[in-house]
Amino acid sequence: MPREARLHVTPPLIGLVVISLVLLGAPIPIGAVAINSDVGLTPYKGQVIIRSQIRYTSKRDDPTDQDRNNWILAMPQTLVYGFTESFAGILTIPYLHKELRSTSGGERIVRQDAGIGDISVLAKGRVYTRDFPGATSRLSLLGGLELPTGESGDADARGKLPRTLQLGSGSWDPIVGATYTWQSLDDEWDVSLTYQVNTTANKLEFGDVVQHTVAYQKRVLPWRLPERGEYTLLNIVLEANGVWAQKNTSHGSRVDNSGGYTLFLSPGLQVASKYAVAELSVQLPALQVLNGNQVETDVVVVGSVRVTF
Amino acid sequence: MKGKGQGVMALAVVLWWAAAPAQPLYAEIQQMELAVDGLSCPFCSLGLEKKLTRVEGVAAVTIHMKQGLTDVQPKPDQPLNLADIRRAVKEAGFTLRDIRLTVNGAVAHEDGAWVLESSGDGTRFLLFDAEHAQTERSSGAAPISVGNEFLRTLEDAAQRGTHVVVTGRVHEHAGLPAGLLIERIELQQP
Repeated sequence: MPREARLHVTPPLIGLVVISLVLLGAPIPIGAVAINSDVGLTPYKGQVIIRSQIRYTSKRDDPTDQDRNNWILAMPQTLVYGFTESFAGILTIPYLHKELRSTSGGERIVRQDAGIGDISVLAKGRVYTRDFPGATSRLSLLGGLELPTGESGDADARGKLPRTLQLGSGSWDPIVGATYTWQSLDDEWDVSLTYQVNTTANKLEFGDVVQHTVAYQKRVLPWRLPERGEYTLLNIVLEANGVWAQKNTSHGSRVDNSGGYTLFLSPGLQVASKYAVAELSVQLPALQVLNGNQVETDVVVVGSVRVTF
Repeated sequence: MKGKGQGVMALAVVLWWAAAPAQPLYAEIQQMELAVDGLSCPFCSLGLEKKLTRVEGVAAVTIHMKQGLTDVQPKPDQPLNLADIRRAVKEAGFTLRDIRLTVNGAVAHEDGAWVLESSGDGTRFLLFDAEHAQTERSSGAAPISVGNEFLRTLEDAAQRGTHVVVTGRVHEHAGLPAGLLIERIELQQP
C-alpha cells in the first residue's frame, strides 16, 4: 500500500539558512541571472545568448525494498534572441541520459534511455523597467510551449520503459510565467514563477508543474569596484528553487506514486565577464514532500556557460 | 537685462528659432559623455558597447560601470547624430539620462541669446546656464540666457573672434534646435 506524502527536512536547510543570514550582512555585489532558471536571461535588441548547461541529478533514497537508484544527466542548450530590447525568444533543446537501477526477484536490473527530450519555446516580454544609476528593476512575462519532441514510447529488452525513464511526455504543454529582477551595484535579486499545464498523450497526463526561484547574488571579487572601466566579477549565489508537481493521471485515474513538492537550496559560484558567464551550483533538497513511494533526490549538480554574440 | 525680463528661457529664445526646421544634431564634438542608467552587470554592458560602436561617427566607446558613465570618442571630421546615440542606448536596453558634450566653435550674441556655432559643420547650439534655465519670462522683455560667470568669456571671444570650447549638458526639445547647459567655457588656444 503506498504511503502517504512524506515530509523530509534535511540538515542542509539549517546550514544554508545560517549561511544566507551571513551573506545578507556582507557588502557589495553584482551579477547576472539565476543559475537554475533560464527565464531571467535578458538580451538587447539583436543579441544572441547561448547557454550550455549540464545537470546531474541523483535520486537514491528509496522507501521500498527495491533499492532504486535513478540518475539523470541532462544537457539543455538554450538559445536566446532579442527581437527588440524588450522582447526575446528562448529556445531550449535538452539532451538527456536517464538510468534506473532496481532490484527485482533478487536480480539487479538496469534500464536506461538517452536522446533529445522535449524542446521548449518561450516568448519573454518586458512589461516594466525602471533604471537608476547603477541599478535596474525589471518585470517580464513569459509564455510558450513544451513540444513533444522527446520519445515517449521507448522500450528495451524488458519491454516498454517506465514513464519516468522516457525522454519526453508525448504531449503539447503550455507554459506561462513571470520573472522579476532587481540588480544594482550593491546586490541582485531574481524571482521567477512558471506554471506548466501538462496535457494528455497516450492516455497519460503528467501533473501540472509550478516552479519558483528566488536567487540572491553578491560580489566577492573585486572587493572594491574600481572607479573607472569594466571588470570581471566573482559572485556567490544562493537560490531557493521549488518544484511542485500535481499527481499524474493514467487512464482517467490518479497515480498515487506521483507528484509532490521539492524545495532545493542551491549555493553556487558565478564568474561574470563582458563576453561570458560561467556558473556552478549544487542543489540540495531541503524539503521533499513526495506522494507515495517515489525515490527522493539526493543532489543536483549544475554547471553552465553563457556566451554572447 | 539682468534681473529683468526673466522668462521661460527655453521657450522664449527657442521661439526665435522656431522657423528653423528640426534637424539632426551634427557638430564638431571633441568629447561625449553619456550618463546611462541601468548599467549593472558586465555581461549586460557589452550590448551598450556594441550598439554605440556601430553608430556612424563613433570611433570608440569606454564604459565606466561604477560611475554609470560611457565615454564616446567621435571620429574626427565626421558628423555625430545624437538621435542615433539615443536610439543605440535604447536598443541596448538602458535609459539615457544625460549627454555631456565638449564642443569647439565660434560664439555670437543674437537677439539676446548666446549661440555656439560648431567648427565642424556649422551646427548651432543655444547656450544657457543653470541659473537662467529656470527663469520665467515676462512679456516684452528680452530673454537672458547666460549669467556673469560665463558672460565675460563669451563677450571676449565674440569680440576677438576667438573660438571657444564649451562643455555642457544637452537639452533637446522635439522639433527644435538643441541647447547646451554650460558647465565650462575655455577660450581656444591659437
